[in-house]
Amino acid sequence: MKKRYIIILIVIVSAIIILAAINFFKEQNKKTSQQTEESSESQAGDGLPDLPGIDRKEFTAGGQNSLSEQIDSYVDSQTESRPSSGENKELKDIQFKDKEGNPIPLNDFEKAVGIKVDDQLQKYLKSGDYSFMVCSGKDGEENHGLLLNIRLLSKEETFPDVIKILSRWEPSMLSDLSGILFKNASLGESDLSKKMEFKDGKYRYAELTLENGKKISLNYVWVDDYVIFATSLECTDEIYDYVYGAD
Amino acid sequence: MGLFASEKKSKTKAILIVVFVLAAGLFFSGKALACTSGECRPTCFDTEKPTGEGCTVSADGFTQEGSCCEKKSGTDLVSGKVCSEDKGMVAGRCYVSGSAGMAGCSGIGPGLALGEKGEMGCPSDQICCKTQEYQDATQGKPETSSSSPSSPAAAVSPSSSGIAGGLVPCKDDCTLCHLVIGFKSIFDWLMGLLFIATMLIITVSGVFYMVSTGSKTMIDKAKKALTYALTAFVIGMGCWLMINIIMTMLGFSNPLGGNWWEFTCDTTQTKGAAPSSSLPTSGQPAGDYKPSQCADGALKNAMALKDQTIYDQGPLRGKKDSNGYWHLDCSAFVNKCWQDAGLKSPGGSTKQMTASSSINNGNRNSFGAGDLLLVSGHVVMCMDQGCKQVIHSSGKDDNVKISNGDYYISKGAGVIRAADYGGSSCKTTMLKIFPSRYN
Repeated sequence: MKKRYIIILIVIVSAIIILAAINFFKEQNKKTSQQTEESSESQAGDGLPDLPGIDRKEFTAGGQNSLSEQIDSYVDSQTESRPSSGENKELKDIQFKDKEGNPIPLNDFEKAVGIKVDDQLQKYLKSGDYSFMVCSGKDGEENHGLLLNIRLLSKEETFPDVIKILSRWEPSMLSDLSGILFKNASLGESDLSKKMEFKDGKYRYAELTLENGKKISLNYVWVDDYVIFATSLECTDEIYDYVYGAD
Repeated sequence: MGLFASEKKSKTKAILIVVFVLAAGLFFSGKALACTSGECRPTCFDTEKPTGEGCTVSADGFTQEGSCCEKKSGTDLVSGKVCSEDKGMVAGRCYVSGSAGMAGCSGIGPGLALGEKGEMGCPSDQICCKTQEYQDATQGKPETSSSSPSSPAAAVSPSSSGIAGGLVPCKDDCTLCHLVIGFKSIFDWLMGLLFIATMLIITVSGVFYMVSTGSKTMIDKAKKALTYALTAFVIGMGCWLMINIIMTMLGFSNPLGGNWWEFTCDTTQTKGAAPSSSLPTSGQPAGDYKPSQCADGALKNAMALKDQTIYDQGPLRGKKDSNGYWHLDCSAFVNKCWQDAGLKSPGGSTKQMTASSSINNGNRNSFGAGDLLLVSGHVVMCMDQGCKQVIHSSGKDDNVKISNGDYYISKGAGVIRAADYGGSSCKTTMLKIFPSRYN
């Protein structure tokens, strides 16, 4: 082979190697800059702005008392300080965080407030993504809700599974959730042992007359990735609209 | 002495070959290394692969999803069995390795298409292939023929003809896009041939050298063959290299990401694109989902905004926060994503969108990426065929997030097809993120 052919070949091979190296470093730089961009984006995404009609609140654990007592008194303060109708009507979305600002796992929250979310349903939930909702109702009314976020389902899972679980949970739903939804209603043993019959209305609902003559209702509905539990039709409506973000 | 010189030359050549192969290997492995993180590929989801990167649509259980392809799991339309995830499914059937090239009804005879369960007198749990005449008859034309009962090995939807195998992957529904795909297929085929032929000739030359036992004729033949093969290979690769350098220097880039030589084009506009003003007819069967450039672009735009708290100070709909910024609501979000992908707006608000005729025919697999689902004043965008997942601007989270699509499907959502609003002006430009984000 002539010398010049060898030189040409060497030049081409060198060019290829240089090009490959440039290409590789270029892609690496792109990757690094993308990662930097992503991390700055995730930092910027923290902290949601206030929107009209919505009062987003965060409970952060940190006092001397037990978590249960802290949550209990915080929930009390939020339900009692509700504005009377006509004044700054806002729906409160309360989330619970630990000292480090991480969401308190649903299991810990359950223990703290004395509720029990169905074990089967829990498998479909995002552990730290739940809210206690305080609706903008009249003073003195039980106007609360609980919002549970369903995780993204795998291809094998379907929502009918979730609906079946909710349906099976209905008989014990009241006693399991009364610790937070009917905290001030003073439900007695006899009230809790009463059978609640759920019906299909605008939402799935059940009504019950307590021993003291007071009427209560429990509504639940699956909307988008959430299951809403609320103590009145109006409150369910309010949370439903909030979740949807309908225009 | 002459023999020694010949051996020396052979050694030089062998070294050159090794260096060349190493350099080529380094080049391609460098590319592959850089691509492993995914930034030089189209934006595909975890379970997907970009087409052309180890994913052969319709040939190994993968199904086309815009610029990506994905192994689908689900229930086989005919047998009712759940397809295993590792094998995937194509066009409603579990993929079976080597099964008639997934030809389905078209593999049985010309003009046949997959029917519905129980249609044309088939048992209620079976599907038959139907003739073109039967299809015409069921669409209002005079019935002239009956069904062609069978149990197809697999089905291929009319839409997937545009992405099936072959150099020019279409039959009677060819578009300009198919011509481009044809050119690319021919080029890919020639490049493959060049590589294989070079390797073959190098091997043969090596064998000639080894068995020559000093025969000058054989050594000359081997030398010639090797020289021609290497020259052809160098010229072939050199041409490509030169074009690549020129294109890179000119700054030509793929607007969808990836390399400049990768492209997407719409193979679905077989009978001419739907005029941008035309709305789908109410109750019109949606047929199988047809991935399109516009739909793909709309989804990419949406994905670019995922997990972001977004706002715009323009005239878009939304909620005004305490700082005076406008957050896009669900309809403003989908409108923005559609419009930036070259699609016409189906209406500014969900109310106006709902007034558009829905193409929901009850078959969720006929909806796909970029399509909009409307339920009770909320609108979401499908992310995959069957809308297992959707992306939307959520009121609760106040940002763009991915949700399960099952809820919307179960509510009998109205469906607006992206491709029906595309016209011929579909763009592939990425959505520019809003001027700055809330922080």
